[in-house]
Amino acid sequence: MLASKQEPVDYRRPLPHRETEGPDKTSRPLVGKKFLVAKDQKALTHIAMKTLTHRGATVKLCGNGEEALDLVRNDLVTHRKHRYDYILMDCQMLIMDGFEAAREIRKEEKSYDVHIPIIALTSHEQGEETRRMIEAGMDHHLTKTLKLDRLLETITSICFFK
Amino acid sequence: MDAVTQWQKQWFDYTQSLRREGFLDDQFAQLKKLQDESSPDFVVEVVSLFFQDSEKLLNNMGRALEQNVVNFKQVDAYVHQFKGSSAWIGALRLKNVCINFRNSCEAQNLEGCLRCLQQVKQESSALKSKLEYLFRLEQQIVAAGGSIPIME
Repeated sequence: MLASKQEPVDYRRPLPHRETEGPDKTSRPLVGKKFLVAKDQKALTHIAMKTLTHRGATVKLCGNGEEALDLVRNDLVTHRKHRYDYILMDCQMLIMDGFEAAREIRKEEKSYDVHIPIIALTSHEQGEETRRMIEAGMDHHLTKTLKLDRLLETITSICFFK
Repeated sequence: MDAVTQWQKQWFDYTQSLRREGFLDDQFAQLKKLQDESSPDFVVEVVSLFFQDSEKLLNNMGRALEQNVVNFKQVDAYVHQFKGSSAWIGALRLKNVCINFRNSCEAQNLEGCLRCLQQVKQESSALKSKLEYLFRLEQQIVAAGGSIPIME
């Protein structure tokens, strides 16, 4: 049987701004969390943006590892601390991959005694690239094969049980 | 049965057939769940971006395979990316073709790679047509005052 939405969406009315709808901790557990997302494919970037903001997070996008490094370096030099709470780093970017970006970020951090949690996003299952991730200084691992709802659950649990 | 109900049924039957034939899997339904009042065109946007990304990657693959000395590692990197994004939008058949493509890259089999590239292009094109039809159906339903059923 068809399962119809209870209320049809009226696309003509002004869209509500989610921030003004009031905090809803159950469905928006990432409120107040700032993510830097480094991905080089537009579709996946759009999905990552939506999945994180859907849960209340603020997201800054960048297109490759080099841009992520520049943003982080700039924040450390200017403010001596990270602006973001987490970095979601795609490992398979074509211009400076996630591993190299993570390594360089860890080098930059040394002078400031800070450590930003870096969540690696790879296409490989656990074990295949774990060594590379550990060597690069990445903290957590998500596979792209995870279904979206599991991905969101995993990110949420990383944020609250680190 | 009124027109909206008929179109809704058509939508339902069509999405079922896309799942049965392997064009789309659960991941597509998950994407639909992210669509809400603040981003009513989310899925259409993602799909549109996916085909923009794909065109670039397919061109890169084609150019890499035309070189006198083919860099199979580079081709594999492109296919790997393509496979990843296909999986993310729920494009199951495309993802599976990419698996074969990667095997050809690993074996440094140029003929196999060229065959796979053709297959990827064909599957991509087929998926694009099917999704365009699906989105047109959805537009029809909404324009007639109906609501798009939830994809289970």
